[in-house]
Amino acid sequence: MIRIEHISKSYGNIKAIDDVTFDVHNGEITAFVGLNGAGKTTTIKVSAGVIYPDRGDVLIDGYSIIKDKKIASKSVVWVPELPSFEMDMRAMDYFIYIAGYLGYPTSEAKELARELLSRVGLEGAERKRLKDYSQGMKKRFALALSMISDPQNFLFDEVLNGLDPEGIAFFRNFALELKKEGKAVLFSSHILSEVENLADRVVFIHKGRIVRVMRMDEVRNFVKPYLFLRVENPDSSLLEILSKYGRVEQSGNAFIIRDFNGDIGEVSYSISTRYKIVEIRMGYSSLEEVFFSIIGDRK
Amino acid sequence: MRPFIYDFKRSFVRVSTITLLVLFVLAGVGFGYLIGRGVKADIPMKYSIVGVLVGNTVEGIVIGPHGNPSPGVKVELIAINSVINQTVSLVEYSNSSGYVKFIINESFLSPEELVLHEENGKNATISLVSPFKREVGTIILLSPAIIFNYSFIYASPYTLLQQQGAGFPVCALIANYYPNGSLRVYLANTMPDYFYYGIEPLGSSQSSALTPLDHLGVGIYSLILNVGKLTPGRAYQLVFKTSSNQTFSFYFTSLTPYISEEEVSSVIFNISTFVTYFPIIFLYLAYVLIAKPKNYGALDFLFSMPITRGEIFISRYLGGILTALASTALLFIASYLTLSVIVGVTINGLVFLYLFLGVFLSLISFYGLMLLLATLFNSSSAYMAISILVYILFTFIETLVFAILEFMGYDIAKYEAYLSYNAPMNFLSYIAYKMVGASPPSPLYLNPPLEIATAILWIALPTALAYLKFTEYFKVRKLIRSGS
Repeated sequence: MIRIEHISKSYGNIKAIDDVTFDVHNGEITAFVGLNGAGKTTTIKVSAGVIYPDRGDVLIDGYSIIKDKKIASKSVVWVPELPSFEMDMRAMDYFIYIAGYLGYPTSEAKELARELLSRVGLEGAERKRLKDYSQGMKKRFALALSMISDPQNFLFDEVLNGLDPEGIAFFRNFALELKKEGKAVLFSSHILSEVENLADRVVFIHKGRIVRVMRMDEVRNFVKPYLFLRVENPDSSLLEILSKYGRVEQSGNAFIIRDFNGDIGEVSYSISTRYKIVEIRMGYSSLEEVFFSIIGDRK
Repeated sequence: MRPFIYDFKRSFVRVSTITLLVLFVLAGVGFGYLIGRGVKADIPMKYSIVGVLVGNTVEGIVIGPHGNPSPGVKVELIAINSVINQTVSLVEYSNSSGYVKFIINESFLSPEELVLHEENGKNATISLVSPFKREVGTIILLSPAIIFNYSFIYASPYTLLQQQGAGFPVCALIANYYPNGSLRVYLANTMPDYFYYGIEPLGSSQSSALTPLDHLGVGIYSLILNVGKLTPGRAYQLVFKTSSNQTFSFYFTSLTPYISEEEVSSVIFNISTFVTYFPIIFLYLAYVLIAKPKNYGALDFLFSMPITRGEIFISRYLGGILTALASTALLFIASYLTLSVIVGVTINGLVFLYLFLGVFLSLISFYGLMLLLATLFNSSSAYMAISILVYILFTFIETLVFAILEFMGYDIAKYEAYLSYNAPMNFLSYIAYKMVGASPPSPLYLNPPLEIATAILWIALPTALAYLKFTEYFKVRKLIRSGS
């Protein structure tokens, strides 16, 4: 479990994150959603121990990432959007180098490298130089490296960006597997729909502050339906009839009734005698709209 | 594999490091060779002959520069024919045992001189010391130097300065002294008898106990005598006594360890050049190991691993230290081999150790400074620009400051000593110079304790500051104190 407690971080005069607090629970995938520059990466970097906050702390399975760095880092994986290693090195050499820090002798490190690189689909690419790896391969390599210490918590920072469909499927499935294994996963994205079928909870961040934390079903409930209607012969009295069911927006002979509070059959019945209906259907707002609606409250 | 070994491997096994090192080693060897030739040319003669004249036969052993019998040396004996009153020369080459033999025609009055043709083609003419007309007697022919000062210096690990004696029935050429207390002596004998030997410090009132040797006939003997511990620089006499109670004494001074000023200067010059230009590699290493990965975010990933920043810093620091150690060792091995194999001289180990430490510490102090700069700047290009500027400043600062002082009309000699407080090498090379009795090139050390303190500071301070900056030590302390 990851507990992010009141962390703040500024770069010069710019406040990147301000009093950010939320938890990432075991056995859950938590989506971390915000616009570009909202503070997702800074929050994740602090949580991974990559940078120090100005205030606050992050507890990984109860260990402070500042005070108990080594123990805490053993339990957390960080896969950044654009992983950067010492690119002149070969993947296997870099793995052995990192494993050396963790006390693995070369022979054991090699064996472990083959196992973990194979697990992330990098078998056969062990001798390649890291500069020759694609973005997707680098992310998988970062994942393999981080798994040396068999961690329980995962921080995926915009990992799906720049990946091909196979790469996207790999990370999505991997996250789902981790969830099944009872591990805590924080999955950041600036596209809510990217994580809607994945996440159990969503943490919304905007301008460095957490604006809302919702369970995914709450997010879905938050999505209000609308009615779309197209008729051949609209007139002013149709507007009057429709306004009883919600907020009406007209565009030519098409109508959208927002915050629809009626029944599609009832509407259809009440207008069908006077108007020739071309199209009538229910619609739902996208999660993006929900997101903008949430952050709109904070603007 | 321990990470610092890996950091060392990738620091040392780099094209740039290896190339620069090879260039330095080659330059060192070439320079050593040139100096060696110069030094060789300054030594008028490096071969000696110890021998006997019996009847009309001259037999001798040619002794080479290390005190060993030397084969293949052309020996020319020049004598005067009494009948035609002309000078005639006889030529022989020493055999594989260094042995050479001349048969002199009876019509010759006496051999007047021997000419040894050295390997470098230079001829050295040696006047005969032995009064040849005695018909029986030993000859011991040393370098022309002995004609003037009766001394001869072997360029061997344990050099002996020896007073010569010749024309006696017994002559000894003292060649080497070994750390186990053995003395190698070539003895020319024309007086068959039982021999005893002993050694005593010159001026000592006590006469040493005599040790028996075998019966020695007419001929030349290579003897290893057990003489025990000799004090360097002290004069001794080697005494041979026969059973018929005749005594022969030979004086010598143990010069162990000995190295000429030219030889030290040549090594130090080469090493100074290394210290001036090799730090460029450490400027680059700090870039590769800290500045560049920091700039490109490669360190971020390491920071996310169960590794502390301190461990990463120390590993990279040790990698650089090992590179400095390996590079310096290679340079010194090359210098040592050049001097011992090509020049034929061996530098005393302690002198070499001081020089080695001086260079090594200078390199690591510079590396520490570069690491500090690498941690201070977030941009690797900013680091490169500043570090090159700092390198130039530190390398040429003395020249620059001197030029400014001179321009302003100051007496620069007065300030020279203070400007030498900028590198650990100065102190150690000064010791090396002093140890061999040579004059250091600049007047250092008005205040040795301060010099040592500054040398330590040059190593420790930049490294410590770099460590604190890299680990964000104070920020972490503050966060922990604030109870985050």
